[in-house]
Amino acid sequence: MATMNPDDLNLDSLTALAWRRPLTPEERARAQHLLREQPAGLSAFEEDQELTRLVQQLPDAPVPSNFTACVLQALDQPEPVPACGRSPFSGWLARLAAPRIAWAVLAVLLLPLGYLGFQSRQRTQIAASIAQITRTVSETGRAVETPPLEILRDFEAIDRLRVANTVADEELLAALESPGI
Amino acid sequence: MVAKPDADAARMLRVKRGDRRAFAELVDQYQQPVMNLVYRMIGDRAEAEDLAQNVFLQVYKSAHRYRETARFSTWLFTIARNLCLNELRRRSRHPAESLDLPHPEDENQPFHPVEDVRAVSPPDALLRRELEQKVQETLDALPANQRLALLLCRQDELSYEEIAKILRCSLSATKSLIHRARETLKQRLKPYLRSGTW
Repeated sequence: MATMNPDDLNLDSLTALAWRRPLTPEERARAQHLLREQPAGLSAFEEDQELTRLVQQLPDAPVPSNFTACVLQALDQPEPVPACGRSPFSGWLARLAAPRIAWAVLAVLLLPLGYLGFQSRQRTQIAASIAQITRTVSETGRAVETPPLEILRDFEAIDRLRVANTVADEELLAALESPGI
Repeated sequence: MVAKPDADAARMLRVKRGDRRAFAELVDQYQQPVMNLVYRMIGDRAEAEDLAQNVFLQVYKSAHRYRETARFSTWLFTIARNLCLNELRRRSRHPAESLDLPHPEDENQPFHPVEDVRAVSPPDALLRRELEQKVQETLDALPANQRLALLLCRQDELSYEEIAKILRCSLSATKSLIHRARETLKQRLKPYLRSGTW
């Protein structure tokens, strides 16, 4: 990383630099020089340095001595079982698919129920219609009176007249149309 | 950003070709910084170990995607960042009490399980431990992106440009995140900040 000439650095740059790493003796001298010129910034700069020291002094996290061995061993193992009882079907796929699958299962469960309900309703409607028709027929039958038997006595003769010869009697028509009549 | 290939990038190219020894060297070299970052982000020792291990497994599995255009450490900490944020998101969805965090009733439980080997008198050690705990609590209270920015800033080898790349935000936004984090820390740790050292 390229280092700047300390003489080109202002107090803000030196402060930001000190967040990341200890200042070099040259940078420190430059900071002291600048602080002599701007004593108002001294307490803020000192607080900043002290905070950096506190953060830097946080102890290292403990690392097990066999850490590398554990990592290398894990390389040879198949996909690790997810910790904390998490399902292997997790992550973005689960988030994406789970609601859809739930809706699909619900639809599969509700579809036969809906069909059975529809069928039952249709059967009820048909039964009601048949009952209505039966009722109407029986009421109509009672209302229309059966004709007396005397009418039916000449039924066959009358019926034969219906099928009598329908050929026109030309002679009779001519006689009726003659002027003498 | 870095044009010339660094030694770690060269090792990573060997890992790409399936060289496990090179991978082991990278794990040896970076286990402490990765563990520091993950532990300070997650706050739970056991989970931090698992997560740090996953970071390196991810490095190995994704080796074919590594390009020499970025420094290895930038790529590594980007993976660590993603896994930490995923874990924090998972925790916010399924909150659970950590077994590692000290219970208020259990006063004898030390926050940091590793004893400092440097010779310090008991009262000093106690004060320092209290101060560390206070700093950690203040860090924990920061928003995740500010905490991450501040912790990455602790890594000597990362420049601001590289931190910005890891955080996937602009350089100015990165500096702003660090500044805000530091201002919050300063306010909350004011009683602990000595002056007169300059």
